[in-house]
Amino acid sequence: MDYNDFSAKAREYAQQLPEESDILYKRNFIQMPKEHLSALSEHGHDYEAARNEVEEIAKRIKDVFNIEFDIVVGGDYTYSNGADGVEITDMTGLDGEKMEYKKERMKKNRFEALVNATSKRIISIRTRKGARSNYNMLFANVNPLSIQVDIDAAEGSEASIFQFCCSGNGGSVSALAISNDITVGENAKLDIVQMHNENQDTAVVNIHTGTVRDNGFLRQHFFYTGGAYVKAIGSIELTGNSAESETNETVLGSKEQKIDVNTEIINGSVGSLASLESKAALMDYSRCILKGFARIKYGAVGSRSIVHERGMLLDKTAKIDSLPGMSIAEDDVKATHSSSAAPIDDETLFYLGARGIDRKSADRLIVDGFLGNSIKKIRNPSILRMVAAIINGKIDTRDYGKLPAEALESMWLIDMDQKNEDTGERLLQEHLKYRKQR
Amino acid sequence: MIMEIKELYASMSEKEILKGLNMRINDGEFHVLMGPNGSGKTTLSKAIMGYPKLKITGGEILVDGKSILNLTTDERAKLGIFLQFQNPMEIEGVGFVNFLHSANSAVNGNHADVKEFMSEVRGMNEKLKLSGNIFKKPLNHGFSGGEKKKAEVIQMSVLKPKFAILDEPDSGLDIDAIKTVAENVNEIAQRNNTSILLITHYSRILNYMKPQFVHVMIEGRIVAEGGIELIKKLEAEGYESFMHK
Ligand SMILES: Nc1ncnc2c1ncn2[C@@H]1O[C@H](COP(=O)(O)OP(=O)(O)O)[C@@H](O)[C@H]1O
Ligand SMILES: [Mg+2]
Repeated sequence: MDYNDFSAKAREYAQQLPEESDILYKRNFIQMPKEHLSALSEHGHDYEAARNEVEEIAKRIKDVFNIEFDIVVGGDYTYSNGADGVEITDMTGLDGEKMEYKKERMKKNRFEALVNATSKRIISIRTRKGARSNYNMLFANVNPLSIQVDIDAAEGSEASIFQFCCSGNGGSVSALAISNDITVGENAKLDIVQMHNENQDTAVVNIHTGTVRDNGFLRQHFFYTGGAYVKAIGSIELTGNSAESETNETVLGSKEQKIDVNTEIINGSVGSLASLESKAALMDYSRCILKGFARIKYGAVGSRSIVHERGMLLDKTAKIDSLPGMSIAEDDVKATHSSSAAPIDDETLFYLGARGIDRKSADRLIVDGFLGNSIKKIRNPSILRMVAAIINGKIDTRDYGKLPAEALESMWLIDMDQKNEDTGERLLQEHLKYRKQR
Repeated sequence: MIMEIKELYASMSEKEILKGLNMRINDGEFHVLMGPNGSGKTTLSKAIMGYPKLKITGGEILVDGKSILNLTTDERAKLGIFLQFQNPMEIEGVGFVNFLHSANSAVNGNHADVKEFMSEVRGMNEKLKLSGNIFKKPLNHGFSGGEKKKAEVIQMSVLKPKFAILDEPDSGLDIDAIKTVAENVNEIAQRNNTSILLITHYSRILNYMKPQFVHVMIEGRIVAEGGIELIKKLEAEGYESFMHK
């Protein structure tokens, strides 16, 4: 198969995006606006302007959060600082085998076809055997952005990847589409944190596909706070014996945001462990669909699968559909799934009220608490601070898509750092300073 | 603070629980309320605190002569009313110290100096013979029964209420813990001139606390009132003798 055939196929499939009007999707489906998605096929943007804008964003993040990016993508502009194992190619960089694989996937996932049809670059990250590395990646749709990322964690390697997705200043209808293709090799460990903080003019398409080999471990953490529309489609398959994957999804919705998160975890091998924990806290008129699906294949003896979906509604006008599902083709397995969605508990509000805490402050405390456990799982303190700042800011202002002007010390860090009481005090001081400024 | 409850009627899910209850607690006084299970003691505490699901169908609750019925729960707390919950709520992910600090700034208004605040909390922790454990946990989550009760006492200490209702602070505690809780509550009340309404079914805690007034509640009404001698009568005769008055 050559690239031209592949590309033609991708474009053909991309014309067949599922629609809400299709009978199958009528319920529990969020329609992505065509106007936004068609922006992905536009050409002729000002390359230099895009470059300046995204570099400005990178600089601000470095100043405020002390995070430096190894790879920066702004619209069509793509840059790498030469970090080990990173290569940026155009689409002809796809080899035949990869094309076949992607073609099969596109049959099932038309949004993946959309990314394949509209992206002009592939970023590939290949870690070296047994090496430790980390990569920070910035994606900003200063112009409509579509990109494929191939991540290959070699045998015995350990890598952490941070992907921050945001928008530029432009106020026009736009989209950000990203497709991560992940392979975790034998005994390798890969940790990915992906944060979305796109603005109100942006529709987000986020695809991730992963394969984990023998004893490999893939940990992914997605934060969905930005974008007017979000379509996330993920599929992680544990193909190796004793392979493990942990997927965390954290949604914080406000205004009229529409967020549709579909994640499939597949146990395809002996003794594999897959978990998916999704949490959504929703405010205003936001809407979220959580569709976690656990599949255990025949032969995956002794494997375990866990899916938990939880929703919290801060306003009566917000709406969540939590729809976990599973299909199990093997007897000797353990599978658990649970789902719950509820408004904030009245008894809890009464208890907080009896301590003088009014409704607004109570909301903040409760959402902090609800999402805190997920946020505290981030291991890199700079990234944790950035994620916490964005989430805390959003709870307070209900706005999204802006970069926080400063790193705030979060209560989550205080709870995290109980051993050192002085640090606890210092963090509390800083936190209060931040609260006062609002 | 003077707390007056006048001919109070209240119902929950259409069921009338308080049926014309009267009580007056003056500044700095210490009252105890006793009554069998289900007589409405906890419901009275919720009525005073403004539990939204409880419908007040008649009567008044006055603080220093002014009705508080139209105030929200947090507004009542800010007036200086405190309720030690019989069953404190567990709140996921909200750290105890974070919670306590939010409560303190809400009620006492001042963004108290963090060092002072922390040292008060640590001091209370020691006095209550708690391990530092509860600082590391989410609010009431994974606290033992005793830790929950003691954590409520820390809250009382930090919030410095003018009027405190203690709903069975002794239940589920061993004798040493009862003594510790009682002594600390006494000290906090003395320090802040807090009036107290202590709800209990057992007189054990009264070995360490000295109430001036006793009320006996049965089926949503006060059926007997008096001094400490009423407790002796209760111990000798049980609630039976009060039932058919
Ligand atoms: N949420 C509720 N809905 C209906 N009835 C209730 C509710 N809560 C308590 N009750 C009833 O109110 C009565 C008084 O309860 P409570 O005030 O808890 O008594 P006490 O604290 O004296 O043991 C009991 O009969 C109890 O069953
Ligand atoms: Mg009770």
